[in-house]
Amino acid sequence: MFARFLPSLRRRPEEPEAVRKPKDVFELMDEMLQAPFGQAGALSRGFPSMDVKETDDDVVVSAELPGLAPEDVELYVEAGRLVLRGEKRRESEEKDEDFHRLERSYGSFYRAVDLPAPVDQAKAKASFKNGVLTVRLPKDEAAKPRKVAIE
Amino acid sequence: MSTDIAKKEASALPNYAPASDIVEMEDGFHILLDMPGVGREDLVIDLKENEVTISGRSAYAAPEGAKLLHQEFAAGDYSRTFALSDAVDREKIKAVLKNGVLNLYLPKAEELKPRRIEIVSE
Repeated sequence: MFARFLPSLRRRPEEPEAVRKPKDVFELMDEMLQAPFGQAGALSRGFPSMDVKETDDDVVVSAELPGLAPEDVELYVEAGRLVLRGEKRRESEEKDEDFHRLERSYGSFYRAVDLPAPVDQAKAKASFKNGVLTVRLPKDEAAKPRKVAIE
Repeated sequence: MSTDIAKKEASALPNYAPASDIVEMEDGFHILLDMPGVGREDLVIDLKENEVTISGRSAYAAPEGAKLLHQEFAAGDYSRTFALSDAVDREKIKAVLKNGVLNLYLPKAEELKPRRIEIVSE
């Protein structure tokens, strides 16, 4: 029964906005402090938070995905964009639970970032450490910076 | 007190209060904290008389000669304090760090668990 109080990243259609009522004034204040301009914060910026770095040989994309395991995340390159999708589930689903505070979000997510250069998808490597996903995508040979000899 | 302030000034990293869930179950409380990027060696859990403080630091090694194109997160200090109720058995607190989530288990003290009282007839 608490499922409808869970903050979800993508609310399902059968759960209208009005269903989620704040429990008390403290929860209201907590919400206001976290997102003073309505649904700002995590949602406007997108989940997960991502960094994109570029070196001469690689494009390195990292994402904060606390609580997710490698099998929960799907990664692919499509039309010059790196797509990240998956679902974050609750750690436990037990009947005798009583929630005192719920700030972490759950639900499915989808995010795509533009890659600054064409990459060789076959040679991409991804690793997960302490809830942070790092994807290293080697640039296509043609996209690497090259010195031009002056004759 | 003054050392706390000095410590805060020394650290140039931004401070975050990690998002937390507090779940009560029959046998105790679970506090789940999102602390992505924090390893076991960078995590400190301090238990004082009636509060528990969790602090951690996330650090990322930037690849050689990397150019930052887009940034939404970076290294930072996480810190958050929770008040403990007397119902918690302080000796049996357990913490598990997995995939960037800290699960702090605060079991309820034995004497507070429900129990039946025997009636002795005279």
